[in-house]
Amino acid sequence: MEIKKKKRQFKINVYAVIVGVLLALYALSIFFALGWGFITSLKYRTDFEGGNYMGLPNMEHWHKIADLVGSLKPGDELYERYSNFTHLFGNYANAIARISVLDHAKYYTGFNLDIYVDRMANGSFFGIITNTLLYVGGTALFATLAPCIAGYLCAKFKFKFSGIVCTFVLFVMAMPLVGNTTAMLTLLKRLSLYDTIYGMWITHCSFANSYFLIFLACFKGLSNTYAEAAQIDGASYWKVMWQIYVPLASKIFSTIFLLQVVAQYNNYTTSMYYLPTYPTLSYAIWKIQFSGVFNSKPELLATSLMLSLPMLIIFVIFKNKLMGNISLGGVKE
Amino acid sequence: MAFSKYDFIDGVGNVSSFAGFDNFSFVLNKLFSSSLIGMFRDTFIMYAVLLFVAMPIGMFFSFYIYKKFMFSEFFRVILFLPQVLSAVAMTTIYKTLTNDLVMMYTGIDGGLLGGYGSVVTMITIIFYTLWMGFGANILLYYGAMSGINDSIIEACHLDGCNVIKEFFYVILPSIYPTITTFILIDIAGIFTNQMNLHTFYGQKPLPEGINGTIGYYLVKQTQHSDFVYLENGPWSYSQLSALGVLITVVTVPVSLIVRTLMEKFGPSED
Repeated sequence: MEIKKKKRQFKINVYAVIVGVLLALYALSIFFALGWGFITSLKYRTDFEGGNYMGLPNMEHWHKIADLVGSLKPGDELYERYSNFTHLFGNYANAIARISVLDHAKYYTGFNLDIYVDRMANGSFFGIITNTLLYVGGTALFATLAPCIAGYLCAKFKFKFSGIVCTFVLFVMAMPLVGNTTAMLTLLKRLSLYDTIYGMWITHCSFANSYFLIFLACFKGLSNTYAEAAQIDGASYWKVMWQIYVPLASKIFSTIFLLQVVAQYNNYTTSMYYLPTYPTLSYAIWKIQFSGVFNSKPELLATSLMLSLPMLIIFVIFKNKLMGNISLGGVKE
Repeated sequence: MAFSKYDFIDGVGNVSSFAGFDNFSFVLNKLFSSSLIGMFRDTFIMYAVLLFVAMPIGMFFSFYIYKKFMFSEFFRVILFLPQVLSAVAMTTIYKTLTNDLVMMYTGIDGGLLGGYGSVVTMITIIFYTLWMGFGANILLYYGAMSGINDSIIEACHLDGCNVIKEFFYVILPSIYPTITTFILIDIAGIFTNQMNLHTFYGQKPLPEGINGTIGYYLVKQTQHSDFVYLENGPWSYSQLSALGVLITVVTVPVSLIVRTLMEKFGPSED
């Protein structure tokens, strides 16, 4: 019996050790990539290109540039070129100063596709930040609100149309639609919603996704007695929904909203397809990789890591919420 | 859209008209005459890796976390981290490591992303997809495993099951519906997944020997397409829609057949 027990223990350990080692290697690779990327982003160009690939930043390179800038006057060509590179975070300062998207969008819009538009992108750093905030905030909010409202209506108002809506959502989710981007582009151009932030808000008002099912299950699980009590006290349907049930689902709502914020912030293709003159930060930085604006690797890495920083902060603060076990029964915490 | 074509008329704009099956014949001609066949090959290779490598590894990792082995909570956070980090940022770091750094050390132009032939390039790209791709799947497998009744696990232990047997005889059959869902989602996305190729290469040509995936081709074409098709230019909206319709027509029955087969021949919880 004892031998058997020992054998079992040994097998358990083998599995745990093998997978544990693999996971440790995985964690190490992530830390190495992020750590190496961050340390390299702190190096001056000549430091990295001179062969310091793995070491810590050599401050002499930064000091040299700081001395050079100190000997120049504002307005000089060299001063303008090097004024950001006077400290360890010079690549980051330079990235903020020089991130821009100078796209020129030309397209036809209007119902008959006969209105010609030729517009420059709102692509300065502050323009990009404004676009990003409006795009991410708006789309995340509407992409959470739409399934929440639809889920509530289908859960609390039982008639045939609710069943049709549920079947429709399941059908859309299972249907492998390919190449529908061009149809969406055409529709948006015909409705003059193309290249507008509010157009993106409207297109994200969709409930045909798994979040609808999560809200549906959540609202189905909430007792109807709350609504009955409120209605006896004279509350309207509107009040019952917004002042009773939506607050009760606030945990799920905020989790889905955060997931949407992360997804929309990291998504560069939507801006690329639908918002040519409203570049978001993700799109701007993706584009910079190929534009040659930053020709050194430390500068490119600084730009990229700068993009990740806000989401990293959100992740650290809301780690448990983001990783909450969303299931059809709600969020298990 | 797939059955229409657009002509630009001065002073009127883009005028659409019925195109019959012209767009479909255009797409079919391209399919059998160009590198699109190679793209299908690359798409299936990458899909096979996702299905037969990423999915089992993801399940093993989730099981480790589910069993609460050493540092499981820490690993859960680390596995989810790439989901939060920008793909643009991570590709830049990965590209610098595998391309520029290797190039600087070895002097071979292109590094692992083009300097050692198409097989190494393909492996490097696939490795990145695996490396970054665990995130949400791990959480969903873990969620499914957490839903298994503890008494079943206890009964399994009383019958003398070790961890491996527990995984194959209890956990896998119990989370089989989740596995089926993942496989169906993967099939649905097989032709839309650009496998990070667009993030890596943008509009630059792919290294020699790499054809790219259909998803990558769709993204690249759509980025520059317009209503009217110009000879040797990017495909028009209508032609891309026709390609989408053709692929959907193939994918829908495949999804249904796979679903039916998995339900019929899959393990039961009993």
